[in-house]
Amino acid sequence: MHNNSNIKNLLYEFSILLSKETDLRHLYFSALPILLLAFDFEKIVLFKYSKRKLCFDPKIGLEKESVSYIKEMWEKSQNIGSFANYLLNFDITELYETDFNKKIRMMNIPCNEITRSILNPFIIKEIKNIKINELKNRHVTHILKQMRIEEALYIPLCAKNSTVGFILASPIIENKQELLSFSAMLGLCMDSLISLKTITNLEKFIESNKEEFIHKQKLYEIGKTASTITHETKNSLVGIIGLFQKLKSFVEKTEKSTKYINIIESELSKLYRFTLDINKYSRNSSATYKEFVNLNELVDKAIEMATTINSDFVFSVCIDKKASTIYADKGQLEQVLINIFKNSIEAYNKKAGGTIKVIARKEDGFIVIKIRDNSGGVKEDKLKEIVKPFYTTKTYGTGLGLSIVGEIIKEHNGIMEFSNINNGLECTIKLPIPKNKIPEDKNE
Amino acid sequence: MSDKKKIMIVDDEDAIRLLYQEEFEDEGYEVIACKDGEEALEKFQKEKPDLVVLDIAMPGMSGLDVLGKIKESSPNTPVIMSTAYSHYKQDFYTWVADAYIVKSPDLSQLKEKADELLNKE
Repeated sequence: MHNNSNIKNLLYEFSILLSKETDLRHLYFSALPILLLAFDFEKIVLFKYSKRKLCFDPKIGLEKESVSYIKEMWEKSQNIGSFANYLLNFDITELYETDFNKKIRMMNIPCNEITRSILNPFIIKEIKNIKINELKNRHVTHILKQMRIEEALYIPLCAKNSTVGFILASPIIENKQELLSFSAMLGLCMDSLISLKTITNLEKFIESNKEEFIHKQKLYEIGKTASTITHETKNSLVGIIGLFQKLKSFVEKTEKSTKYINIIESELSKLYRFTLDINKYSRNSSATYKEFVNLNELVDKAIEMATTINSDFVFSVCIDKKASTIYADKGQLEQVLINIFKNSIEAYNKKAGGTIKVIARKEDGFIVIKIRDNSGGVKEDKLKEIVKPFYTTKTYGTGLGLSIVGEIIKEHNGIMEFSNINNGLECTIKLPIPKNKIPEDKNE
Repeated sequence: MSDKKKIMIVDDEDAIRLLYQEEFEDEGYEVIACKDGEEALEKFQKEKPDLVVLDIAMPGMSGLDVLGKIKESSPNTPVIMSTAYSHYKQDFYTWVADAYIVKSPDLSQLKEKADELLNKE
């Protein structure tokens, strides 16, 4: 029943759905089935454009057979808006778990200059047909091969005169005019939900920083009090123990006095040792909680935070599949990346053109992460100095950042090194892969 | 013995002051005990001690301030800094001092240092 009135009715449901969706991820899974049903596509794939990485991320892949139960719902629904409401509230797990979707999402398109230069001409703002044997673009060819199709319809998703993403659908249809209404609405909806997500992330970041600050302040106060107490206690004990030694010689030695003296002596020395121990503890930093973390997500998040300082910086990320999982404390490693990014951004003294490249790969027992900038580097003889506390060249950072970073990497039994590269600084972080631990297979 | 060497003890803790005083007196020194920095500086000019044992953490004037004043007026008088913990060892002010010891009920280290510094001359 894919006639014009069916499209019109679905367009109506689509607009209701889009006006109510609040979650970006859910939107992909609720909106795409409607497109698939309206134009009777066999396969449909959506890519989201990442402004930060200047790249496209695969978000969802759907096949006709996997939405058959949704089609049934549509055919059964009688009231206007009821199908939209069904999609708005339906559980996306089943669609998420399909093999096709998983395959699409696993598709790893590296974000680097080469990919960008190839993909950029591909960013066109009109619907058009693309054919595998006419394509020069290796990456797009790869996508079509993964979809197992020869040709596809390219549907751009735009908002505010820029690209939010695109859809590839198959088979090619002629009725592109009506498709445009769907894609225009979807683009706008995606854009507003992306903005919403960014704001929420930032709010969370600010909030967590605030909490962390309060927490640290409290710890600091407790630590200060504890250290004052031990300091005073130790001071008193030095006098007490010393004078007690003298007092001993005045005491008449009887069985009882010897017993008392021994007890007092052993208790005093216990207290004294305690004041020595407690001081050792106060110097230990907070405990780390290590787990298997997705490096892609971690880098993404750190980039997101770092770009709040300077949104003009262009990030390239190329993480080898084998290096996508690291064993680390999530929060601390994020701090590491943010601090390194921040240093590079702060060291850059031109208005535009700043770039940071993140490369990760597996290398005999280690995950090696390299972060390269074009911010000019540091003097060769100062390279070893930059991780020392309070060291600052005025251009690279505030002085404490990299020393904290160094401590964290040390805490992870890792190695961190800096070297100058062509017009920039390269930070190499090596994190050991634990031998006796196997990462759990996690889906997002 | 008129050529008894004079040691000045500066510590706000009564027990420690008494302990040091007695120990050094037993060793044959003359001891001037002061309970704070102000008293120490005042007596320093009058008594001209041969050695000063100086606590760092004291109410009012800190041991580091006292150290500066003493070294200003009499740079050749040896000063031993004495404190509960070794935090201050890194503080570059203490580099001016001739020795740094961590307080302990066992005074042998302090006494050794004092002997060493006094017999250098």
